[in-house]
Amino acid sequence: MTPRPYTLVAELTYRCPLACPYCSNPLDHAQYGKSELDEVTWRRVLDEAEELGVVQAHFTGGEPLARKDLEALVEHAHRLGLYTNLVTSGVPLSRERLEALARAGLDHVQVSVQSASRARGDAVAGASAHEQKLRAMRWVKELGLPLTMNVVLHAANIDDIDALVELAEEMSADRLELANAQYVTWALANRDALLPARSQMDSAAGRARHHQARLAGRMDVLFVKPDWFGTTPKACMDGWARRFVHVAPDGRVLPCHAATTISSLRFESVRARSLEEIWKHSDALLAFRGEAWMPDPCRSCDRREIDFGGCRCQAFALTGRADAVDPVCSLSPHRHIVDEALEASRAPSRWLHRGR
Amino acid sequence: MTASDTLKLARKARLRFDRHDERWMIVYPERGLVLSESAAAIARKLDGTRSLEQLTGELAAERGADPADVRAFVDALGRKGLLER
Repeated sequence: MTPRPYTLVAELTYRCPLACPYCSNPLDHAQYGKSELDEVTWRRVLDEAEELGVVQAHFTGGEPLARKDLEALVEHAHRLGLYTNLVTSGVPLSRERLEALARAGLDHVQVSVQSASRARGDAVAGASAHEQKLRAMRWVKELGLPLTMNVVLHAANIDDIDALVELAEEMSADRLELANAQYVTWALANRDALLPARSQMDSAAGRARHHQARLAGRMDVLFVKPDWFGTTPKACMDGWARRFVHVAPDGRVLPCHAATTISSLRFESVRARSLEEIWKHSDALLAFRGEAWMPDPCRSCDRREIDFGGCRCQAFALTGRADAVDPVCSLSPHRHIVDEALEASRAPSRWLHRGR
Repeated sequence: MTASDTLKLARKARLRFDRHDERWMIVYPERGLVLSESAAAIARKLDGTRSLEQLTGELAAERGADPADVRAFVDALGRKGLLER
């Protein structure tokens, strides 16, 4: 039976005023500018997603504020009864625009922050953005909207957990997501500059636990130790094309934001077929849905209903085969690739910013 | 939380009826919680007008709900950060 998707991730654009070196957009994001779906098609996508069972829509990108029709799309999703979440850098945002989004029915705002310090944050973003982000977070709270502050963690900021938590408290965030970089697309290209040492990761996890306990009941602090530092795969997207449906700026329907990196798959666009037809019948979404694709030892593993076989993008990126055992797994014949990367010197290497 | 505080779902959480499975759900960032009929009966009353004592009293009178079950569900919501604080 075809699973029911609960969450639509609407990647409205890959355009962004920032240039973070761990951006989750494809390396060739700049090619998409002219092929973005128009407002009418996005409205149809929202209708069809709700029809499929979706209850939550994340408006993300790139920077979704780059789309002038964002308010109209939020309003449309709200009218459909969907929970609407804006995932933004806070740039460019004005208080007036946020008020308009709130009036349109926006339920939640997630603002990304690169660092607790302006100088270091702006160095990561490749733009003068930190002060604007603080303003944006204050407006979110002043308008009575729930706020998540999101920080992508990497070698250059993972030692600053205390300062990041302090900033989130100062901003009265309802949630703080301390999200370790996922080593696909830009973060994979910049892996040697971004991957923390194991000692950094352990220490950060300890500080995060401390703050979770201290702030329990006041602010949710999320910290997930990344799969590379463990021995079992993550339950990537709760399973391939199972609970999440992503629609890329050009209309391609994906199981996750990074799936286009798997060059052996051809993803279909909502321009050609309905979301429902693609969700149910597209070869690329059927490729790793369920368990039939699984290699040994996954197919007989007790954890196959826990981790769904891990991350296909990671298997493809590190082994060249999307159907390989996730190389993070201690049972993978390719685990040495992960271990070698973890042991590699964290000599001061420089990262490459994504283009704007 | 004391017995006289009024109970309300957190601002980030929305209670909605799911037309597909015909069940109530609490939806919040990145997650959703599918509610049983008795949990939904409790959640629908978390609108900031009742204390825990009033809530357990009403649900016992209307549905014969065990106050201990009601308290356990309310506590679980609180632990998930789904009650206003």
